This record gives sequence, structure tokens and C-alpha cells, in this order.
Amino acid sequence: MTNASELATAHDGDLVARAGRGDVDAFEALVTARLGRVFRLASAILGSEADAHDVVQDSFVAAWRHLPALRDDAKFDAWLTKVVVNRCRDVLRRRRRSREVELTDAWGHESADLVGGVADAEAVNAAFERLSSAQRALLVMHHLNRASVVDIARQLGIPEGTAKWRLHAARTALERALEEDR
Amino acid sequence: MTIRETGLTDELLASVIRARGSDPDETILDDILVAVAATPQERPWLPSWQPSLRLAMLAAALILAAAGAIAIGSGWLKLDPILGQYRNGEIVAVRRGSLVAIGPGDVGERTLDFCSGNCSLPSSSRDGSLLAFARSDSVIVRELDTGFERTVGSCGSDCLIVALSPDGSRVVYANGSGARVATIGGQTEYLPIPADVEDVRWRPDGMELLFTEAGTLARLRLDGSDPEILLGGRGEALPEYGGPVYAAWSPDGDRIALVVDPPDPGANGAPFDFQLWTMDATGGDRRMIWNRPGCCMTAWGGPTWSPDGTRIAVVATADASFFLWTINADGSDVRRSAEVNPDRVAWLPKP
Repeated sequence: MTNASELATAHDGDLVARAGRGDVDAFEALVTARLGRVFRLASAILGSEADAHDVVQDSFVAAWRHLPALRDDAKFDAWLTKVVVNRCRDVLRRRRRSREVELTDAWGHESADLVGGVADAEAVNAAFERLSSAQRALLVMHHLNRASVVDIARQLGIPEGTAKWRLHAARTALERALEEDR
Repeated sequence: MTIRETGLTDELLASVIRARGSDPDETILDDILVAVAATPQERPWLPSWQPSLRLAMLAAALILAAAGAIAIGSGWLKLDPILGQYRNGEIVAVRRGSLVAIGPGDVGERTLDFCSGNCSLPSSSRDGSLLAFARSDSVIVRELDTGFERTVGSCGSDCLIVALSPDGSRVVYANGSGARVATIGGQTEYLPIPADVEDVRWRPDGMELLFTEAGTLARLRLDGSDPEILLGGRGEALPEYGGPVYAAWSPDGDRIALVVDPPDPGANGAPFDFQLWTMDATGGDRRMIWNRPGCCMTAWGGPTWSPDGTRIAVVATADASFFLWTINADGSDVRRSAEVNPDRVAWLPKP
């Protein structure tokens, strides 16, 4: 057990190390500090608070379970982000699988929500729903968390150039989805 | 296609994404802590301070693998002595919840009248005499000749995996919260694999399982021994996204076909990519045999080898609908067949 004053002054690296050794209080401190950011990330990717609730809970439990195998305590946040993005991908995959009957509707070039070439929020949201989980994650990290390309690359464990290209490609995919909905 | 001006600004995109991202409710922290309290941590199977032991075990594994390869290559050890006797027959697929049998070469089609409206996930025994599938939440094994059916288990909710062993003696099934193996007419046990496993396939000799979970492809024996990660996550606690999604062993056990879900968008920026790969059973000699970047194509249910091992079937999209596709194992002769549901298919041998 760790007392509250110790936790308050502990560095993240210490907390990660303690949590990796089974210290639940240290893990609670890690969760509390990250819960809002992680939940907003998941809910923005998924567009559903209920799904985000499940994903965030599963992600933190998975993080707890696998923490002893984390070799670099300083990479906890990047690792956690990756876990959350992975779980979001799985939810989107199962969602697509269970909604196959809606496939035609989803891809069927529905109503045009662009007036005079100007997109509105509803149209952008609908187009966003057609992106892959990876594309959603990149755009959310960049626009919701205001993460730089450098930060995104670090969090996803990919080269900066790759992050920059993927971000550009995700934006292009969103533009195309908007265009196809016209 | 050229993008016309859509009027999408950074400010609008940011406001949409901010609106999607909501704050957590007050209960979630308690939910997490309750779940954590009930979850044991997984200790690494070898501590990092024992590099010499790791090297010794790696060397032993390499020696054993080499010995096995030599034994198989020389013909002294054969995985399956009856391979080669089967020719390709009908492919059983799912359409609107019914099972349909599509003839070889896309000639002829019949609806299997024992499953209408609520069936999915067909898989067959190697000789084609038995067909396993999910009917609602029940796992059924049916003798195709006699029509005799046996319910071997219940998923409790939607089944995500039903996989009949090649000899028809066992079925693996899963609903996203644990995978079980049921011996026909016998007992059911949980498998020592991740609870949220996405797909399970049998090695042709029934001795090992191939499974995918969160971008990782791994194989292990039924008792949980000798686990080996073939792709994704090697040396990492959790892998990056974008790894293999579904995979299947070839009938001779030599190769594995796998569907990969790349994280990058396609060449024309479309949201889905699709790649079909083959590799040897140890993860080497990887070959991409089909790549459809940006053609709005994705796949569910995974690859299924033909009984003679020359072709691979997969369900994938084209023009916003799902179709059955078949392709030679070397990537040639791609054929689009009937429109079906995004689901697993079973390739029966010719009677």
C-alpha cells in the first residue's frame, strides 16, 4: 500500500514501476490522471460514449494485466494510447461485421450535406464515420489533443515522416468521403 | 477521382471531433478499479535479467525447428498422409443468414434448407462429411449425409468463432469473452488463449491452433504449450494495429494464408485496404498474393483453403456489397463469385 502524500509527489515513472509490481494505489493514480484524455480519445474515434466506456475500461484492465511486461516505464503513455487505439479498432471491426445489412446505406451516397461547397458539421461527422480506425485515431489525436506530428509519431511508435504522411492521407480520405456524399 | 472543393476547414474538423469526444461519467473509475482488483497481472514468462537463458532457449527452439523441418522435408515425418486425395467441391457461404452451397467454378448453387435466417460461421471437416455452424447462439455439428445434428455448445450471445477440427471430433467456439473447445459428445474446456480472440483455425493434423487477436498471429498446442507468435507483437506486450486479422493453415500444413488490414489508406484515399498474404508455417517466406489498395475493399471471415490446397477463398467487398472471391495460392486467376454475407466460408471436397 502507498499513502496519498507519497502518490502525490511520485513521478509517473515511479508510479508505472510501482503499478507494474502490483501496487493498485499507484495504478489508480495513473488512471485518474489519464482517464479524461483517454476517454475523449476513444469517444471521438468511436462516436459512442457507451462503446468508449467499454474500450477505456478494457484498455486500463489490459494495461494493468500487462504492465509487468512493459520494459520502458517512460513509454507508458504511448503504450496506453496504442492499447486504446487497438481496442477502438476492434470495436469498429465488430460493429462493421454486425452491421453488414446497413452496408449499402452506409456507402450508398446518401443525402448531400454540402451547401454551396461548404461542409457542415453533420456532413463532416458522417464522413468521419466512414474512415478506418487508424485514420480516425490520427485525426482525433491531432485535432482533439492538439498533438503535433512529433507527438503522434512518438505515441504510435512510428517515424515522424510516416505520421505526417498518414495524417495527410487521413485528411484526404475525409475530404473524399465528404465529396462522395455530395 | 479528383477532389472538388469541400469547404472542410481545420476549425470545422476540430469542432466536429471535439463534439464527438465526451468526458467520462463518474462511474467509470470505480468500474475500472473493481475490474483491476479482480484481474491478476501477467508476469513475463522469462525475466529480463536472464538473457543467457533466453538465448539458450532460442537456440534449443531453432535446433528443434531445424530438426522438424529436415524430418518433414525428407519425408520421414508427414503431417497428414491422406492429403492429395481431395478435389475441390462446393463452397458453403452465408447469405442473409441462410447457408448456400456454391458449386465449383461458380456453377450451380443450392440453399441448404436446414439453416434459414439465423445461421453463420460454417466450417467443415476435412472429408466434408460434417459441417459445423452457429444457429442463433447454438453451436451445431451436422452430418451432411444423414442430416443428424448435435448441439455441442452455446455461445450465450452472438458466436464470433466456430471452427470444426479437420477430423470432426472437436469444435472451437467463442463469443468475444473466452474461447472454448468442445469434444463432440464429450466435455467442454476453456482454451488458454486471449478471451477476445478474433479467429481460430486448426492445423490440418488437429494438434495445434492458429489464432489472431489484436493484430497478433500466434500458434499453440491445444493444451496451451509451445506458444509461438508468428506475426505482430513479437517482443512487445501489445502490438501495433494493422496486423493480421484472419489466417488459415493450408491443407498440407506447409503454408498459412492471412488477411491483413493495413493502417494506411489506399492509393486513392479510400477508407479500406485489403491484402491477402501467404507465408510458411513458421512465419517466413511471406508473399503478398493479392493487394487491392483503396478499392473500398475489406474482408471478414478470413481465408479458406480449397481441399486440394491450390486455391484460397475469401469474402470481400466490391461496389459496396460482399462477394465470394477465389484466387490461386500463387496470386493468379482471381475470380469474383456470388454475392454473400461477410462471414466465414467452408470449402467442401468433391464427393
